[in-house]
Amino acid sequence: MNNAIEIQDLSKGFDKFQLKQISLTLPKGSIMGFIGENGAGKTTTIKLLLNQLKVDSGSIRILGFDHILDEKKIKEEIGVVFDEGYFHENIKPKHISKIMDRIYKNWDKELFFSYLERFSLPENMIIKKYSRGMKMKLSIATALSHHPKLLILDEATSGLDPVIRNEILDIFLDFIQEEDHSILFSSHITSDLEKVADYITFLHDGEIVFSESKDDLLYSYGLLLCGAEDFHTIDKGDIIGHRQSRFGHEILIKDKERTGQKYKGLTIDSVTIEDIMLFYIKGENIQ
Amino acid sequence: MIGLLLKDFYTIRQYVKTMLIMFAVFAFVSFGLDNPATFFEGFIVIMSVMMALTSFSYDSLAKWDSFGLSLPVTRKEAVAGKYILSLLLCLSGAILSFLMSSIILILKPVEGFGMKEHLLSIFGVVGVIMLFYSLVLPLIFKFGVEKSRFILLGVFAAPTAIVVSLSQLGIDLPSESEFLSALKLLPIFVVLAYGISYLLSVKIYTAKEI
Repeated sequence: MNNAIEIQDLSKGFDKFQLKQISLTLPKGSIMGFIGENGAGKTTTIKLLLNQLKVDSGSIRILGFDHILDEKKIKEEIGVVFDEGYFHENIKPKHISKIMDRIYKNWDKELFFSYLERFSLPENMIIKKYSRGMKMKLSIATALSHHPKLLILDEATSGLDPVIRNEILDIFLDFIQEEDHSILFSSHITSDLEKVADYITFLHDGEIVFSESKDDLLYSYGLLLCGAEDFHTIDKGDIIGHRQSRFGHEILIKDKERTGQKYKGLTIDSVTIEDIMLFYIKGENIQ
Repeated sequence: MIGLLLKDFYTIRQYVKTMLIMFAVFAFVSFGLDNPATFFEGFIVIMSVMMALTSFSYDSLAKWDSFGLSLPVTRKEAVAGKYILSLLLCLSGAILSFLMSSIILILKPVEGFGMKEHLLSIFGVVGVIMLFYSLVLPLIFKFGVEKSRFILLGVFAAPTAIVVSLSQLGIDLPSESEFLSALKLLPIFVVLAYGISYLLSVKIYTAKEI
């Protein structure tokens, strides 16, 4: 079993939103960035993974197990962090340890308290008095302290300042050192994902636009810059997304090398994940 | 599931403390009443029900359900946790109130209200609370605690309305002996109702999309 998550043709319909036959594979030992605008279906997918929403069709395997038949077994092995605390505000971290000790077979008290110390989280303070960053770190400490094999993060770094975000990213990079550990990292802070992710899966309007290795993406996509005259000479088929500004045209293209050969003399810049995402969503469609 | 109960215990602990203080204050005040025992019985109804509902409110405030179901806890266990919590709250309230009112009854006996009547009335109150839970818990699992609050008002108001309208229509309320024999059947009725209610809640919660 070499994949942490395998999703096959997963569909789920709501009144106003459809998740349409998505498939993705997260190989063990890697971090997959899960991107897309609000409402693209990221949280829906995560809730389906956790069997909090019922699947309409398709299959999900987590750590090699069926996500419904072996739900409890899977949940012993995963840690989940949502964008909000999910702990009652009037309890203290030391209570969390006692609660989780009864919930997880593998709960590691010492590890939990060592995380508290590392993150400077007072164990005797009620959570209400914690800042947002502290709450997030507490959630992460909790998610890590039963020795999970897979972390599922739903916007776990949003709303935090860059210093804390970096600290948290370091924790994830630490976690992934073990070769059978994996992370599914849903976020719209694409710069975070650029730092840590091995794969990027882009969800738009309930469909997967691409699910590829980050290096391949950044290597293959490019931003072609040109003036209005040159713009008309460009094959419409080469244009994925397009943006016009006072200074000319910006065109998102794929297969940088081939396109560069084809349009000699035009500048092709490298792209960020954010560029790719924006051009797909916002870029005018030429065809 | 014990973990979930522990979670509920920690969350409502502060509330329990406040309730105990109120309890002590009212115990003192109740010396002035004609029959303090009945007062305490009323008090445990409110206390037990309020605390069980509070545990649901805290859960929804913290958006616990979504997180709770990412833990190795089945939905059945989550439901069972709440049913056990409610039972424990009801029983501990009953024991506490029994002890308190017994002390007061010893210090200040009430004519015609001996230990037997005292026990019977606590017994009746526990039965009523458990029937109330049987009705309300599935509603909370279905609609959430906030929406259920309005339904609760109805649940509280309905028996009163029925009793009032019956007496207005000239229909006699059951006599004391009829009432006592009904009380004998109460345990069976309560166990049955609570059991069916639990199964219903499991069904509702299992099908629920969080």
